[in-house]
Amino acid sequence: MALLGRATLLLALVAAGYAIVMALASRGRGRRAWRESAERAVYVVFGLMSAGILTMWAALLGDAFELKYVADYTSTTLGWPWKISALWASQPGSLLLWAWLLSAFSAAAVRLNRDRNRELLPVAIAVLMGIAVFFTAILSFVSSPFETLAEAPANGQDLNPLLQNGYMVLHPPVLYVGYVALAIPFAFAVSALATGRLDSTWIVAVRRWMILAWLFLGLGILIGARWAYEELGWGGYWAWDPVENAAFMPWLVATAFLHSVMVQERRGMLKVWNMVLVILTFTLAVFGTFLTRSGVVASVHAFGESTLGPFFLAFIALVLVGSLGLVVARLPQLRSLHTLESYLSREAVFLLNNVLLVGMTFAVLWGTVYPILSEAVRGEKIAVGQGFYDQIAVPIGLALLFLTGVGPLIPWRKASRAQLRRRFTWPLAAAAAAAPVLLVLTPAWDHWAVGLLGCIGVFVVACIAGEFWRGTRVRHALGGTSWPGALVQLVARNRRRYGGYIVHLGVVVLLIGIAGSRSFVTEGSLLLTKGESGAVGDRTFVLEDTTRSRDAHLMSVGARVAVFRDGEREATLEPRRNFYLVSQQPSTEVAIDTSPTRDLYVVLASLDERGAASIFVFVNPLVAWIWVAGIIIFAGGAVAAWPARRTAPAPRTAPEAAGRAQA
Amino acid sequence: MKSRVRFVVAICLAVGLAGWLGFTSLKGNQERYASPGQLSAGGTYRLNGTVAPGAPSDASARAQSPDGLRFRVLGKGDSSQSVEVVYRGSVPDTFRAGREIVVTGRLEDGVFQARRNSMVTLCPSKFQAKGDRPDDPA
Repeated sequence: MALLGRATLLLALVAAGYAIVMALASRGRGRRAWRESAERAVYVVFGLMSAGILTMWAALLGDAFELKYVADYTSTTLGWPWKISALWASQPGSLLLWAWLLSAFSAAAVRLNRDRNRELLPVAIAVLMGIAVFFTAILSFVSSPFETLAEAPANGQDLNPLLQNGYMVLHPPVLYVGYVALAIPFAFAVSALATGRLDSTWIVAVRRWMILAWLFLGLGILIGARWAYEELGWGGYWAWDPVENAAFMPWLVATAFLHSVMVQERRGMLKVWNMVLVILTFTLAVFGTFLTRSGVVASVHAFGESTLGPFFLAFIALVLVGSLGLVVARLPQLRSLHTLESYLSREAVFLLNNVLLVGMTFAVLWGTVYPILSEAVRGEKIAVGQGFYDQIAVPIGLALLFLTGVGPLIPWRKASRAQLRRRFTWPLAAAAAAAPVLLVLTPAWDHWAVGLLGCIGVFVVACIAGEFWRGTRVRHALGGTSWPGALVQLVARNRRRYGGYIVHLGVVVLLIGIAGSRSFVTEGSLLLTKGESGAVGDRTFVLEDTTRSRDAHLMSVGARVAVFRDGEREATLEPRRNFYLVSQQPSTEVAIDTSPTRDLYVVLASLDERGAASIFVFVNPLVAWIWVAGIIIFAGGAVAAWPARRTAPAPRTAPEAAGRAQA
Repeated sequence: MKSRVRFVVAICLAVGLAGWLGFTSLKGNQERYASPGQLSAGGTYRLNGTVAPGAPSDASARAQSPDGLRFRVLGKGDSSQSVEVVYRGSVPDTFRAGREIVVTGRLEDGVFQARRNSMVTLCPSKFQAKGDRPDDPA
């Protein structure tokens, strides 16, 4: 099995190398056969990588403990879903997943572009296969998942209990889909630079990939947050941990790109900027993988120190220097077609949004690598606390949210006073009306940022609702269809635009959830024996019962806690503590009761022999809206990215039409 | 040309503002990595070391009690330096004697007063795949 796995990886390495040579050589005249050969080689790489990953899965499911990886991360008593997820429990396995996804996306990109972008494709193939060569080489020679043990142990060491959680099965692959999908826009951008075909063809080719990557990155981050919330037992979901930041940074830059790309499509501006953003997203994605895998920064999630650091650093340096060098070489061809005419214009708002997003990215990057830098410069390892990130994220987040409302409504080129008055009077009035309501109904008075967030949120929602209302009314008047029919038509005909609005709504909901759950937490600890009760905030917690159980895989203690508020039973929670027998490790299983207004989050810290339970309670307001927002954003993104079935009758601009035809 | 000047001014303003924001935020939030021997009163530290033998096995219960969880942290690979830590909040499941941890806080009267929920355990045995069995729960 080890032999088979290693062989597929080596063959994939060779095939990827062959694809590079063929793709680059095919650029001469009349070398159609070479090009086809390169494309077939991409499919072959995908086939071989698939064989490799299936071999690994077969080994994990079949308890092939002669493989070091299988022995380290599974055991005979581990359930099969966890055995499958053990593939991304550690470094070599997750790199294998990375490489396989890359081969799959490369094959998909080749397939989707088989009839177009003929000039761009060869170099794009070469770039993608170059990345594949890097990863397969690492997998073959530095960090192999198919390393064997001299003697196969009778049982493995089991999967880390923290990873035996449904969200952990989903989180890494979803995040990786996002990371790896960023390679496609990067490859096409480099190809456009190398071939000098710098019109908007490459942008059209990659736009949907970028939305896909952005969507999955965001979803992956949220699933990870949800995992942290359920599994780590500290009542929170985000701690500005280096590894969280590593996923957050490419997402921020991808967000910036998705906005600035519209400026390039409509106005032919920001061409250099867009190139740099694409290069930056991919570099940050590789940097994120590097940060997680190399152990340079101490983190909850870091996978321990490894030997991969120098390889990844060299690869990142190559990517950055090579692609930025190309940008510099092509600068004369990347000139803007227009200049900024007014600061009251959509392009100005998008530019500001980009500056804020990229500024935020650099702040996060700065905080993340600060310990490394300070150690290099001053010889002392100094980290920055969470306060640093919060202080920066709050003002930038508020400004961005405000722009979320302004951007879609303000006209291109130059807005007149009359236009501004017509479009923004109602939203501003709504926000002004919301302010006193918020102050009366919520404790926002003590938290100016939260109050401001509420007002801006109302403003944005009013702006977006206005857009939907105007569009639907026009369509209703035109087509004589029903109101809901008109709304559906409106969205279906302008997927990107209205999908974007839905995403914006989701962002409002997300920020409200974050603000509520970070600013108004009530927490307390209780030591109770059966029948006793204690109070946290205005709620009473009663320990009704305790349980102990044991099976082949784990020992478990539990508590049944009833929550009363104003004399009425509000919820019954059953937090547990598991003790995994193979790994000799405890694991906290928190109990959460969710409602729209608050989460009751109860942790069983311990249950001693006399039956005294130590319980920790968090009341987290509004936290459920974060997950709801995730669903809204995903839905909006899916609407925006979904291929249209047919070409719309009256496309607004040429690239837009090309984008539709692509489907 | 005028618009170009204004553009540059706007960008400079934005960068300046961001820089100022970054600088002030950074100043108040620096946390120095330190081993037990390097602590001194005053600053905020991220104490990095291994949990000394004798750490309570009911750590997570104690960390919720009013007295807090008390344990000693030894220098990594240098057990001659050590410091007593008082910690409250959630304790990672992997906490036990011999584990490498990072905990954030300040030194007060010779005792390291940790910030709530700031403990992170680093987990070499599981992630690094050295093949060692988990150590005895002391």
